[in-house]
Amino acid sequence: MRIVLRGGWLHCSETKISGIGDLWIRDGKIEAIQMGESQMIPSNVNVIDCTGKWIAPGLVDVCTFCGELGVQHRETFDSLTQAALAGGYTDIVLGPWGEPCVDTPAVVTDLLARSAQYPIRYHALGSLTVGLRGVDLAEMGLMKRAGVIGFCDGLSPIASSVVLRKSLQYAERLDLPVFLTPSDPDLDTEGVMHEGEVSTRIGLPGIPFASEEMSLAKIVSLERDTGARCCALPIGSKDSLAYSKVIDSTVRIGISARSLYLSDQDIEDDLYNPSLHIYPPLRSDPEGLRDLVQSGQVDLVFAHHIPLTRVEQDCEFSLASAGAMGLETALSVAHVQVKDLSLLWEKMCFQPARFLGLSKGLHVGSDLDIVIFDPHLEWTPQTPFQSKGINEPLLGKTLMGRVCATLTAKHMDLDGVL
Amino acid sequence: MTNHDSVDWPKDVLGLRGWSKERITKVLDTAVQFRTVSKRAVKKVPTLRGRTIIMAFFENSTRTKLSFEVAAKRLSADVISFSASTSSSKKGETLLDTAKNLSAMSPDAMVLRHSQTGAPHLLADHFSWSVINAGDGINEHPSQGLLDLLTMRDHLGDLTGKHIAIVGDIQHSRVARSNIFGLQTMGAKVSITGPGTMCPKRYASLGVQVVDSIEDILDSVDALMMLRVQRERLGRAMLPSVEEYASLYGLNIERLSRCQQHCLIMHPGPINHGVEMMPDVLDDPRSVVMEQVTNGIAIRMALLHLALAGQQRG
Repeated sequence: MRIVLRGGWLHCSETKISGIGDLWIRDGKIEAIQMGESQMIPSNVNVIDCTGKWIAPGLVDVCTFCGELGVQHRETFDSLTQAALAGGYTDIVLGPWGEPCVDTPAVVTDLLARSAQYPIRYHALGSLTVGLRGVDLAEMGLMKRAGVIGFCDGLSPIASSVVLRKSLQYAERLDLPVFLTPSDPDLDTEGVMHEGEVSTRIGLPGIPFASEEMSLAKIVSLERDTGARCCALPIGSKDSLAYSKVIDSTVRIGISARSLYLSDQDIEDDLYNPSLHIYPPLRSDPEGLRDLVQSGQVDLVFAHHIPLTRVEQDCEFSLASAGAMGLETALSVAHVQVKDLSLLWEKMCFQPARFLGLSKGLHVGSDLDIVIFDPHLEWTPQTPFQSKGINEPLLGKTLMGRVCATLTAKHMDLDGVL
Repeated sequence: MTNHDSVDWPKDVLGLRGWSKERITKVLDTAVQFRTVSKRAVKKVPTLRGRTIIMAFFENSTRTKLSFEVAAKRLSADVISFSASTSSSKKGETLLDTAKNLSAMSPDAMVLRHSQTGAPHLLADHFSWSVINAGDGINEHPSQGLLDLLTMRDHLGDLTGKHIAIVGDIQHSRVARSNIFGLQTMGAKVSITGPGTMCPKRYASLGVQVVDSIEDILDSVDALMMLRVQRERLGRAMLPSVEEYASLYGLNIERLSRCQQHCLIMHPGPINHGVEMMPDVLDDPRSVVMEQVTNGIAIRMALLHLALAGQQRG
């Protein structure tokens, strides 16, 4: 079957494509890319009018939660794949969570084998330490051999500076990137939201900004010390970058897409909504984060997707498990604040792909891997979601721009653009 | 007495934050009327006859629980009490599940004490019956705030411009927070003081004055509210020792002598004698600690009456 996506704005910074053109598809591959005015199209070709739409490689998400290992009530590969396709993602880099967590080569092998049948690509991050406990080093070398493409503290910041340093020294020799949570578990112990004026008003224990600032400074110092390639995420405030700027750090900085839009104020406005119980917490600086993205100081914008069910959410705010869904809304909510789609694609596709060594781009002859995005479509996230979670903090908010279709060699659903 | 009929009344009593001066005045005036009931030989009125009130205390409480029970019984309501040690929460049942079961028994109101901020708000969102917050986490304790306001109004009159100081562990005190919100609404000036670990500067964002030392406010305050020091916090690097706290922040006779003659001495109880207050301070005529307890019953009668009377009208 031959299809031509006609008249859309094609974008790919890897292949230096940017402009209106036609993208030809044949048998799950990009057959041709033709920039400028459409040529005559044979009658046996299925023409899809993409005027006004944005067409670019599928997005890359990092540290994504999947419950396939023992917590299937929260997410499975089936539901995660559908959520990813709805959100425009074709590469999902799984965080090391699960029961068991991803801390041995056997678990890596099992996880990757289970994921192979799906129409998007799954990758795995291994835990830096056994059981994500921050005490003993996990078998990072054997996990690399089994297929992980990086390591992660699994949103459980490693409290011990000694263990963190040694884990980075070990990862550096394996030449794989490391994702670290810029938060201090000691300072975070009692808090459930950003400590500030809002937490003071509504009576919830806070996590001080100092937790983020000093742990990012620690990551910056240890990256310089060990030579490991680190990405700190998610950052919640522009101010936390002060030290890394002073020493011109190479630590990559990631933010969650929702933090461009939501802040701790939303916990007061939608009082004690457990979907807003997120760790590290939403802080008070969406505008500052937007400035960071626009000035190039943020390297990654990720979905920070942690689906939770009623079991973990129908309770008091502090007792609700921390985390929020994000895959299905990340691009739209980021687009509400950052209108420049080419910039967003850098942060949500090309830069994470480069950091992780993944191949991305509109290449003729390559397997199909594209998103069709309508930047003018207004929509409101509503239940049910593709994900099994119920904790979408953007539920009911008006977003601008929506994924119409995500196409891969194994997934050619064009309903959204017909 | 002012006519309060036009003052709107919410389904639930969750906290004093956001309450109007008129609504607070309505409660205080209603409590004054109910106060006479407790002075009669037969301390009972039929106001809430046939109504069922559940006292759900998921955290230890003696005086608040007893006060609410006495209040409900003096209004002739049927009272069902349970505490965390006897409830299904010990078996792992969630708050919502427990409340669903209780709801199936058709209560008219629940008085809820819970260790988590927002617990009463959660139930208020899910059920049609009234929720009265008897203390949630570090957030609010509205009935305590109201009984304190009533006690202060009794002695000081209109609270506009009055200077009230709260001393101690502000950060973990729902009593302090309800008082701050209520007092500010009534026009009072509020100062707070305590160790830096218990009284952070960021509380200035609530519009209160954060004072470094109790010495700085003694001569200007119209009421001093001493908070209980929770000894269990000692192990968490909150305080070096109770002795140091008593020395720096405790109310003793010498400090009391520098207060104005009309300055009220208040404490929500229970008191750590010799820590936040020296025993002889309680004997001073300016101490109104027992009046607070008495007013607590009247305030809680008023809250239950207003909550359930509203339901009846509805």
